[in-house]
Amino acid sequence: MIWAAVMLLTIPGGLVVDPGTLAITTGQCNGGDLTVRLTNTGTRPVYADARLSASRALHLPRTLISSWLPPGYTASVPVAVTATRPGRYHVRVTRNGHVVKVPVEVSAPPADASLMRLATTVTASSARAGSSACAAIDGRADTMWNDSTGKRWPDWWQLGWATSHQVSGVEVTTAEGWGLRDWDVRVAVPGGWSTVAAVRGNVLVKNVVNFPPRWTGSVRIVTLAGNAVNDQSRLVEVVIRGH
Amino acid sequence: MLRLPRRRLFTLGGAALIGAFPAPRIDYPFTLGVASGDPLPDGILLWTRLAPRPFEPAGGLPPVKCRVEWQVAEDDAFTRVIRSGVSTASPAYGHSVHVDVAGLRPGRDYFYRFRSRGHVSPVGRTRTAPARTARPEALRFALASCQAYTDGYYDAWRHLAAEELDVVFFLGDYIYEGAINDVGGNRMDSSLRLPDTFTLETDTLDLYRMRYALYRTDPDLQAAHAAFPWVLTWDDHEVQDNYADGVSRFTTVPQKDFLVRRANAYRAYWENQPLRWPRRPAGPDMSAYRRFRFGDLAHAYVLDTRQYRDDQACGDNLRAGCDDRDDPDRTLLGAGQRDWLLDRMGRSDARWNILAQQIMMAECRYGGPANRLDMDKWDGYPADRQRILETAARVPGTVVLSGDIHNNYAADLRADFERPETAAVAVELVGTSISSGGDGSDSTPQLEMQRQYNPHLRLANGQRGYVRCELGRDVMRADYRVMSQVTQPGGEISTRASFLSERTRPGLVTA
Repeated sequence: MIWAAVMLLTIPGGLVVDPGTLAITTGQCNGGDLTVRLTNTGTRPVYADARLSASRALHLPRTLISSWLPPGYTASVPVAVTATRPGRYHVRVTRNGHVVKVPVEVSAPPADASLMRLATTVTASSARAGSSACAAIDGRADTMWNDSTGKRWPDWWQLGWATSHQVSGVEVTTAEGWGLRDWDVRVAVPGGWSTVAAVRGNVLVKNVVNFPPRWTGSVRIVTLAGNAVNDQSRLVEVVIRGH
Repeated sequence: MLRLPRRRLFTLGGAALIGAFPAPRIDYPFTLGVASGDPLPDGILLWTRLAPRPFEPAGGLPPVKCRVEWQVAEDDAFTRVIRSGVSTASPAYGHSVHVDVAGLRPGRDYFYRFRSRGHVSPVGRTRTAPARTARPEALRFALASCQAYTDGYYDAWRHLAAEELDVVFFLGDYIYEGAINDVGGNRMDSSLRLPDTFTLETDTLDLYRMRYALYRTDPDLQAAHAAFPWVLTWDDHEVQDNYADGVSRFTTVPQKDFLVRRANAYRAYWENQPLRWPRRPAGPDMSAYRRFRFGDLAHAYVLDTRQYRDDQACGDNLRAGCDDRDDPDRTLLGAGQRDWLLDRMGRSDARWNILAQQIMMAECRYGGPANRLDMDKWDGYPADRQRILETAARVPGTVVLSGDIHNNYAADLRADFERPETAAVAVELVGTSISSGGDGSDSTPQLEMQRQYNPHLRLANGQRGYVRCELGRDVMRADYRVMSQVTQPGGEISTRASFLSERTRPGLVTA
């Protein structure tokens, strides 16, 4: 118990930010997470505030964390950091006058990176908490983009680049059982969108459509219907083929 | 709703008052409107919250205290101001203002407004409860619940504000905790441009505060708050979907972590509602159950079916053959609240006893071969329900008000739902949602099935709206008001069904 109290007192300002440095690449889905840990080192409950700020090239989804903290408790809050241009920047977190500055090293994706990694914007018509548009290109089978408009169709998911790329196919991994049934693949053209592929009656978890190569700045998947309860759009992974 | 346009009142008030004060040093701070609540015969709780930039953390205010003046008048032009004072909007409480006004006359309309840094708030109208010794001929109220911002527009509130009411009972799910995109979900309002902070699920105090700010920027919701005093209780989404006491929806979340989230949620709830100072939470605990008297006509018991309940039986959701739900020691209300309710109900000398609470009390079998019951509702806690209905059998005039389920139901409550030939001991009005669930429809195969398997249900309807109710000395009338649409603005209201029930012979009959 005494050891625990001594440990708490050694946390300056009751504020820790992990990791001590962060290396990320530009792009909306290429960021990284900091974890802000707020500890109540006292003997009475408190409401604690931590304020966050960052260089203009960085984006944080929040600039304030407020939480009730019982004695000895540590609240651990993840904060996603993304960047728009390469460079060396800082995220600054303050609590009760105590400041933690986290260096953030931002690089551009390598030239031979995949089209997903090169994306600068990834958006969707809507998204549930924890199932953002980025979850469809994170390479993980246990996450997905999930729209938030139950039983309302169509929905859409979209990926864009800073410059045009040649695309020739889209591989969609959807959920087993409750996956997508019908969707269109569209590419951005001057003044709108052009449908380059249409999938109907899909029951596969992984579906690949190929089409004649097209140069475009964005690809959009317009979801039209699902299987089973036909309730939501579910994209576990999207791979855009091309270069 | 205030007959004199609010904007005009605001302009008149501002012109009359601003001259005596220095120029504004902050942008207009009353973006979240005003509200009143918890009416007593001699007092009312007035509320506002300063937020010049409501979509920013802390409403765009620096962490400094702000002086806020308030006035209560007998007329909407404020020529007869009968109470006034100064309060403080503190950053510790999200710059909210809770003014407990006393010394008012019973059963009277009053008008109120706030002023801060040279800005004057919209004007609200409120009404005190009748005197304890009064014999009112009627109590007019509405019950409403479940207003998911992302599911539609709040035109139902606009229509409610135009009703003639004494009080509004709000029965929970004032906010929803999930992500909201920049266009407000199904509202698809491209002018909204919400920051991506709103895509984070609410769990910390700053995020809950911002969520309330978003909801309260809606002009129709503001109109309903400004038109009548509200009596509110919460359900689950003010914290997290289907939580139970200290148990998160997700079994992997330790209780100590969930209670921190609950503390943050309760704190934001108190800050953003017209609740009195003694009700503010202490960490993860907040006493929300309470009683209101409306003369000798009605007592209203506001209940909390979330904070003290045992965890849902058999893993929650729809279940058949769940023996655990019948455990006589299981409780929905918690022993303290349950005993308080049974004691007050049992000794009540009011003609009507209103139970304003969250979840459907009537047994509701989902039909078909499985014929399941919902473990999150009173069906999951039959022991507590039985005690209340046995008390209701001895106390004439029990009316249960419920929300949560996004459907309209009208139900006769029996001590034994398996015996439809027995007399009802009370009636239940289950009000649909304001917006949650989107446009809805008059009926669905599921609702038809429920009507078939539950003969005590007099109505099952899947549209949005609210229930308007009038308690007379001997007869209650309930009008189920439904919306034509909510996913597009401009929805119209109509009365889908009306019922009567006698005080001494409970049972819903079509009006």
